[in-house]
Amino acid sequence: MSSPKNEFIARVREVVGPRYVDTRTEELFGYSYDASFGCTKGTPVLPAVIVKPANKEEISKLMQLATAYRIPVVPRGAGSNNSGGTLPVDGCMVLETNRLNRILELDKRNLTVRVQPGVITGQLHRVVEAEGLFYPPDPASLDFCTIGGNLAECAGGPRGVKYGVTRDYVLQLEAVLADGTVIRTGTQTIKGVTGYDLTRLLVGSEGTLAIFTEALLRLIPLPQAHHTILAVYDDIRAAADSVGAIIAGGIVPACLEFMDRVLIKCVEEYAHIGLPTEAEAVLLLDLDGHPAAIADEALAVEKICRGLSVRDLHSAADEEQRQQLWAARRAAFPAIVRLRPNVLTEDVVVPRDKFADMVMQAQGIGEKYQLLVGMAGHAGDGNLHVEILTDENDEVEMARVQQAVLEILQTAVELNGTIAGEHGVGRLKAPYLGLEIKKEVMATMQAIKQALDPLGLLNPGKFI
Amino acid sequence: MSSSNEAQVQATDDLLPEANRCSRCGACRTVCPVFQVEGTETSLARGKAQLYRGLRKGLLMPTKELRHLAGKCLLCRTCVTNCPSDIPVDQIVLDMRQELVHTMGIPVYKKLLFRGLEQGGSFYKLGRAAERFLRLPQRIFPGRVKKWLEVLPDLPASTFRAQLNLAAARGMLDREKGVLFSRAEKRAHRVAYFYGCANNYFYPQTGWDFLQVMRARQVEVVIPPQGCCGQPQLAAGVTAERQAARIKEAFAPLRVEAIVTDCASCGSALKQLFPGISLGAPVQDVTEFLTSIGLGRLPGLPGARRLTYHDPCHAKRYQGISSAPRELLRAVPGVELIEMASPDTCCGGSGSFSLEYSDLSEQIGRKKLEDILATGAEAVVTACPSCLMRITSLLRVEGVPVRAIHLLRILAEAYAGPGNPTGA
Repeated sequence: MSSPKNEFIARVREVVGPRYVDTRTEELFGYSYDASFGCTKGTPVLPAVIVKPANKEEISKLMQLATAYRIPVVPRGAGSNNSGGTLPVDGCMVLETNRLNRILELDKRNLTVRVQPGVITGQLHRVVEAEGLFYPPDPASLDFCTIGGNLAECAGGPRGVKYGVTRDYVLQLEAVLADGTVIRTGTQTIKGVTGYDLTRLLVGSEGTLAIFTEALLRLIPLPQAHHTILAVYDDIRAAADSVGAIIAGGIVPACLEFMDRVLIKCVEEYAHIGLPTEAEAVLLLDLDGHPAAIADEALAVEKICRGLSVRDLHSAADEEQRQQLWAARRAAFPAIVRLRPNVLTEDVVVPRDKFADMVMQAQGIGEKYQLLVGMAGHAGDGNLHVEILTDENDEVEMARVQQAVLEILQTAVELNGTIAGEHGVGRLKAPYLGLEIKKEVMATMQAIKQALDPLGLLNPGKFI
Repeated sequence: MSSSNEAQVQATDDLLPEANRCSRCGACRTVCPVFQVEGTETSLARGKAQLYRGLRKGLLMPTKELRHLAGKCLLCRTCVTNCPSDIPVDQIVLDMRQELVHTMGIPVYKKLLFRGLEQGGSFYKLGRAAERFLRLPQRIFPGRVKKWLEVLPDLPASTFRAQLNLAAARGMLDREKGVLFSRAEKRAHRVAYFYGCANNYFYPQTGWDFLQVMRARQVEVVIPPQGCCGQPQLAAGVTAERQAARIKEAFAPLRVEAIVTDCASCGSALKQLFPGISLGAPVQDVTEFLTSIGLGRLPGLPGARRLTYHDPCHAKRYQGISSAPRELLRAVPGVELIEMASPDTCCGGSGSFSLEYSDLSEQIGRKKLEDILATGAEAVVTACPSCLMRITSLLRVEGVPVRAIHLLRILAEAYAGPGNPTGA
């Protein structure tokens, strides 16, 4: 019997070839989740079909079919986002773009690289860095996440403080709209003001407006040298003041990372790297640039930290010592996930000068709801990751977690910050969008969505 | 109770809480050899953890498809080593296989294979007859049989056990109540030898090399009658109680320093079934044993050799062995050890995986092959017959003049000295 759905799937098979279409229950089950908290609890929502197209022509045809048959489409890369941005809706088509995985052109004269969405971020780093060039966005998942996903989420990372985030490196996009139209946005040039900035509109649109098929990314020269400093504090305020003083002193580190007391203790117990377990805050700074310049900056940073009652200061210019210092930061996640079954990561950002307030209020919220909360963050850009350690199957505790999440997000908004810095809104944060986005702004966004995807087929159930 | 029972209890533990801890971060995407080829979520560690949850929570039915997916794991443990949350994905996969065996039974051919491995001699004769039959008119058989024959090495004229018995009959080995002894001139050590099915059926030369190397180090070797180590059964989700009982009966009374094996897979199974000295003596890989007693005087090879070393998963990630074999190789005069790009990446063999998923296994192996060939080494050395089988087959299909050899072959040659090439 041929239902419209079966007819749709048959036609999808014609477009991409049967090998790249899967409808087996077990396989669909494998696409019912991403890395977002709690998404595997309960009965999974299954897509109707998984499709892996090879090129934009196929994607365009798939979208035409989806439009004709009114099938919702969930674009997917590595499925490593933790906001629920790739969770399927019942009966949808999951459209995985990982077969479009080529680096098309590295242009050293124009400092650009043309890539397909399935390219793995870390792989792009290796390729451009081998040529002395630099693509700064560095999400923690860079070893396996894809550029397509980075574009959809506007991924950031530790280097955001100095170098910005994904959107700051996108010159041009090629994308397929809901009806199958292929568009090319932006210009190949650094400058360009012809028309609306659709590139910026699409970056961070979380698959709700278009499916990326190609991007022209901007590169910069690879910094020549690095210097890493680890500073330990007995007081969060002193750590935060150091951050403020360093930036005010005209020094912008490539990374300026923060860990709170819970994380310090966990990391030390897990990795034994010599952190004082009773410390309140650790700052990890990476200076990059010309060797002479960063040597000067390192001295200045050390001086600033010493003037603000730093407890311990470790400074490393050679690679081996640098890696030892960074080991502390790398151990953070593995160290905390051992404590409780699950971890929910919040991703708030506040203006830099409010960073200490945010940390302390989040600590207070954790205590109020008797939750184990660890904090790591990109202190340099005010982005704080509040890690709530919990057990998704403990209903009583989960009620407290929900309350704590709400208050943490409210706090961020009250401190003139945002509820989502670099992990996206997705399905997880969608209910809280009203805390930050005013009605008339939401209406504007809805008007855009209506114009580009009137049938609401692209990634439904997410932030819009 | 006996340690074999303990092992069983561990294997049947419900690992749902462990699977629930998987944050699905995706880190396994970077390392899973099956995923590198297949690119599907269900081939991936986090996918396996979710399938397991589905099965355990009654959201997925025990189907042939699920069994097929549960089988699609090399148990190489690379994902476990790389997992930020330390999810024991290998145990989860094994538990899923057990559950599926429990509800669906084992496929007939596997049942026959396991029976055969227990039977020993008569099974071998049957196998050889089948092999002769199959090898002749290869073209008339379907591709799958052809693939199988590619993977399996040519069967030797007789099993290692039969060769041992013949040697004993000729007075080259001592025999007491069915137990064979390879005596050393001046006995400095005394170990028991677990040679395993792969050496017995496919690589008897490795067994002889083992004995030669031990003799050179004044080690008396006790060789009791023995069967399968239980690894294939454990990997298939079947209990290995019978194997464990037999091994205990054969090895526990021997009064030896160590039970030594030159098969990484047997070694890891034995260590799992008999932790500590529950077999009367510790189980050791031959590389562990030799590094502990030292190599002594080693005359060296007839000529210089450029070699590369492949780490078997069962040695590296199940027994933590990686420096010992390298130490041994570097100690051999004339050996130049050239490390390949990622020496501990799985070769795709994984025992019967190479037969059940022959195409996939071959594609995984191709990446290994590239790394091996890139070194320019004349031979790839390893310490597991299962890896030898996979890599040898790849080299043969590719038609490259690089050999895959067991580490003991190099050592046996080195003890024989430059003037005495021992052939084979």
